[in-house]
Amino acid sequence: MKTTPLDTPAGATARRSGTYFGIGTYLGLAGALLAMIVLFSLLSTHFWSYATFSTLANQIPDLMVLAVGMTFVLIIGGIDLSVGSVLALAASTVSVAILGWGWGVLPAALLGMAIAALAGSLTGAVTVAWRIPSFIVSLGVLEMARGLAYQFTDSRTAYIGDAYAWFSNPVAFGISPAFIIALLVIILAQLVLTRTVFGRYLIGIGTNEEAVRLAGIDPRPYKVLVFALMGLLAGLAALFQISRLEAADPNAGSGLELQVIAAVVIGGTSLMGGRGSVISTFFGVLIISVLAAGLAQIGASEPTKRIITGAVIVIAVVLDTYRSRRVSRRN
Amino acid sequence: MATIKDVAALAGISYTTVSHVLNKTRPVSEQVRLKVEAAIVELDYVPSAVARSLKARSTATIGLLVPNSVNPYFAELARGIEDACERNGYCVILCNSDDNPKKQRSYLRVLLEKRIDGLVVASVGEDSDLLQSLACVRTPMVIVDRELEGVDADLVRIDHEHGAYLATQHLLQLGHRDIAYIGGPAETGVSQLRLAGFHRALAEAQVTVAVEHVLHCDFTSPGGHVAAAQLLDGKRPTAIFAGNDMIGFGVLRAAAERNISVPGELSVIGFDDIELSRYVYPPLTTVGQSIRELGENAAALLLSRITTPRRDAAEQRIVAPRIVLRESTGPRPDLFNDYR
Amino acid sequence: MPVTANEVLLAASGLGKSYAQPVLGDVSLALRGGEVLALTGENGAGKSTLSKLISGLETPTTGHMSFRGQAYAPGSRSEAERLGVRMVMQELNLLPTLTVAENLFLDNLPSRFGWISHKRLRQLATAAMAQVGLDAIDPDTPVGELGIGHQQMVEIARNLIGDCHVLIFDEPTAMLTAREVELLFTQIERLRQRGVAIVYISHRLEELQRVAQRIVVLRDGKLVCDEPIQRYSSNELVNLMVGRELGEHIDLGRRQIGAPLLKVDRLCRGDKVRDVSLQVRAGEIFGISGLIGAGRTELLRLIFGADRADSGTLEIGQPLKPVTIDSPKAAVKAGIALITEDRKGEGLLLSQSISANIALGNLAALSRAGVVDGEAEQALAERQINAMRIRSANAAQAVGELSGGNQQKVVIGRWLERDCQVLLFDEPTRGIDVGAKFDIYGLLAELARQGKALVVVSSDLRELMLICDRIAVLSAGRLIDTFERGHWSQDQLLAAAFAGYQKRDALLHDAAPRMDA
Repeated sequence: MKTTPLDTPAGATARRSGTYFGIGTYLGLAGALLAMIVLFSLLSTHFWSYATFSTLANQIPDLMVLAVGMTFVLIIGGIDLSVGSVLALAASTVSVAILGWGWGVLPAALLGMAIAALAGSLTGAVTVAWRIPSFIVSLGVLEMARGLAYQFTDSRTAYIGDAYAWFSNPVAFGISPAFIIALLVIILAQLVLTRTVFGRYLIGIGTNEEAVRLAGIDPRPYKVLVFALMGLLAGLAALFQISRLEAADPNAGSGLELQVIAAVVIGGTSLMGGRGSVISTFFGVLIISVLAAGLAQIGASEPTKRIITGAVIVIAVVLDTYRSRRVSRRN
Repeated sequence: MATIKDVAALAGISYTTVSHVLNKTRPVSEQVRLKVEAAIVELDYVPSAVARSLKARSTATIGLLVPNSVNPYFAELARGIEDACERNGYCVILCNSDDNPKKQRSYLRVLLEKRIDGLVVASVGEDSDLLQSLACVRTPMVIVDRELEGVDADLVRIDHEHGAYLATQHLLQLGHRDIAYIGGPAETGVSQLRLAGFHRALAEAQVTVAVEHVLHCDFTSPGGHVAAAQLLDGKRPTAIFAGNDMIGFGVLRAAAERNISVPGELSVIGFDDIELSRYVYPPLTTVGQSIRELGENAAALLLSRITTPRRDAAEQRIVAPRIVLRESTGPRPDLFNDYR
Repeated sequence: MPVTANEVLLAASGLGKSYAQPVLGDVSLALRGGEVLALTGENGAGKSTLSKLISGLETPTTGHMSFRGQAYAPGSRSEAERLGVRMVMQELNLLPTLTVAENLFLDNLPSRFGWISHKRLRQLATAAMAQVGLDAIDPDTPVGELGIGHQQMVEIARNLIGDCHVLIFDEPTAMLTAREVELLFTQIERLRQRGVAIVYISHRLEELQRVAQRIVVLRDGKLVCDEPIQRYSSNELVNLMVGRELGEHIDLGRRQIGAPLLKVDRLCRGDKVRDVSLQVRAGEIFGISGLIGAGRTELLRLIFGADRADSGTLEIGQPLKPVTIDSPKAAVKAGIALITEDRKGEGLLLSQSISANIALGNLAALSRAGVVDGEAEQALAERQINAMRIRSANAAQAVGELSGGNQQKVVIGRWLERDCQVLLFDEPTRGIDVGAKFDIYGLLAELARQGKALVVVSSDLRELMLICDRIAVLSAGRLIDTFERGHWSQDQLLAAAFAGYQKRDALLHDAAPRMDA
């Protein structure tokens, strides 16, 4: 027997809970993206071209996969500032394995990803075991990873050659395998987030960790796993980068973490945890990258690029608060 | 009035036997008892306590000497004493002395002549003759309210000094700095103690009081009314500490007559916590302890002295009063101006 | 400024409020100075909405109000407060890390060129607290260190600093001990004497009858009663609120009480839980009562593994077998469920849907190879919604939007699916309206009938006496006594609740000549 409630008539369309993003958010992001593309196309004759977009697509896979990992980290209410350094660490590990120990391409790649995953697990484990904010722990790991990267490569860029060129060689429509892999990672990640038990637990942990614990689920292994995953994806991003630069640069990824976080936030994942979407993160990555490419094409100087990018981030966050205020008002 | 002899005669039983029936001192046969009871009913006989007391050497009476039982304070005190006595089978002879030395001495003599078992004295006067006569009293005695010099007896009283300190401190906490005091007659011990407490609190807070803001009157409402009028027509204080609740009522009336709102423009605090202080408008904040309980305590102490005479030294029970927060005190008028 | 008694201070006429749907409709009433108006009704009936309209937190969709004869439409809470219309909410508006003084004057700290004048702040704070008789508290105490009763007094003191003509209390006694309730009532009486119009929102009918002169009952957003309170008995009030009769005695059906299913032996944790041993049998509803702070919640948390015990053992099952419970995960595996006291903070994921909340903890059963079966999840949610009569739009509605009673049902629904043998309930009906309360009692009875062992902690003695087979009393961390049905009385239970503290209180007493009567 269903009793008719007071404020909502029976059969009203569900106001979905704030966890998952509705069509509205995606349309909004797509609209912003479109607007930017139109703007730059008008400002620069070269912008609206096949070359622009294919180059873009081949430049962003690292950012894409890193942003996926960061989305998960943000969803559980944490943050990982070490991703850039872990990327460099992975790259330098690969270079050591290939150049120093004569390993094959695949084993070296796996080692690189494993080391990166280990770094992530370290961050996760320390955060969880001693209940220290991940912000601080990842800051420490950032330094350690960077240091190790320099150690491994003797502070020099190591030229690896075309061992990993496969990733960046365009296959169809000028799109590289890296981009396709990254796209698959995104789709897989979104499915995991929305359809699996693991994804549910993550969202629960980000919403109210104590409630999850008292429901009989131990949140700790999941948290560590998320950071490990972040590390693993940083390792993957390192491979993409090596394939593009044909070298392992210990300075790689410096400052990359902020770009990653910016992309995730612009996409609309909440810094507070409990709400997020990988698809919208993808839009965030696109927006940031299109912005950078467009500004470069119209001849903006480096400083100008940074100022404008920064401004976009601030605007995105402000808009996001309006959105979450609307969500919470409905609550 | 019928006597035992008359009952005996009517019942046809001896005097001694009737006495045994009345006092249950020796078992008698049912037949005899019924005859005696019938005779009692017929003659409307009431046993003589006097006669009995002569035999028992105790009158089961307490003498209570108060200045004026119309004063609500002494009325409540007397009530407390009387309730405790009644529960224990004693009755109370109430005497109003009006603080008249002659009357006091005369009552004292009368009470002693009546062979009271104990005496409770609440006196405000300082008459040295009275003190001397009291000092000579051998009957168990309890003094209430204040020490009497030279008189070695149990004492039950409120800590006047501390109570006044609390009252003044309350006003200081509310932010008042311009506090006036209207006390009872300056020569009385109670008044002096309360004034001392008032000054102590001010000294601690390093607040001074103008000379014209310390007044004395008798412990009555008319007295308080006149003194308050003087204060309120001159340089007005923001708070008045009334030496007792009766004075406080007079202050409230003076304020009302001048359209001064209490506690909005003037705070008033009393002392004693008599029952009336609840029912004036606004209800009077005061300091005190249950007056009835004070009386009961005094009576209990006296009764224990009577029933178990001990050679212990005289006891002094000083009761700590507490603030009874009602509606007549408030923060200094301009204190929260920025917040209104 | 002075107010004559019974002057109408605030009048509302045709007040209504709609969000997506109407929540309040056509409410007219008058608040009089010196009168305590009880405002009651089931959850969702519109009480908080009405109080928000009056205190300026929301604006009405229809109708209007007047304050002391002038039109009254505050645009914000501070506007209302400036006029003297204030509210003391259930979640006190105090900042626990700041001192009493700072909290009292937070919106206007006395300062000179930006630096806080601490001396003046102390002075003002002392005066404000002396006004309500709180002068014993040091104004520099952090508010978080005070008991909830005193915190509430601080909140009241804060509201009295400016003008206060109308004061609304929203469920003020939910977290208070009996003694603190008395303190509150004294304050309310003083406020009343001062001519303040007081609105007292509460479910606790006995309290309303003690403190209020008039009563207003809301039902489904409409005003169904506005009368002097003596005209109604508690039962009649419940009738008005719910629109149907609710018995004082409920027939919980006959249950078989079997062998012990849970055995707790000498459980200890610091001085919160001291050497507690008890047994709960299958089919039994075992109540635990005691004062706040007696260790009831702590005991349940120990049994559930949410906290680690210092010593003691646990046995579960038929026959009893020892188990080590060192985490909620282990407890759940052993078949124990805990429905926590703080459902919002510890039980629910407020921003998520009903179905997500019910599914949490059951996801293993609702998924295949790690992928959640959306249909199964939906089916489960609907099953529970129907079984427990959860009032909601549908299963996808966010749990944060539901009323307290329905939220509690969601939590219970989650656990029911797991088929645990031992269920621990901590204040299961707190903050829940009368109708939903009885729904939950029915649920408890049904669970017991199924042969489960239920432990219910509650601060409502009448509730425990209504539903339990046995009641244990905790006092200062110790289990003082266990009473059987039919062999208990409210006085005995209360006496036992205080027993643990008497020794402590006796030590605090001054022996000597001063008599504090």
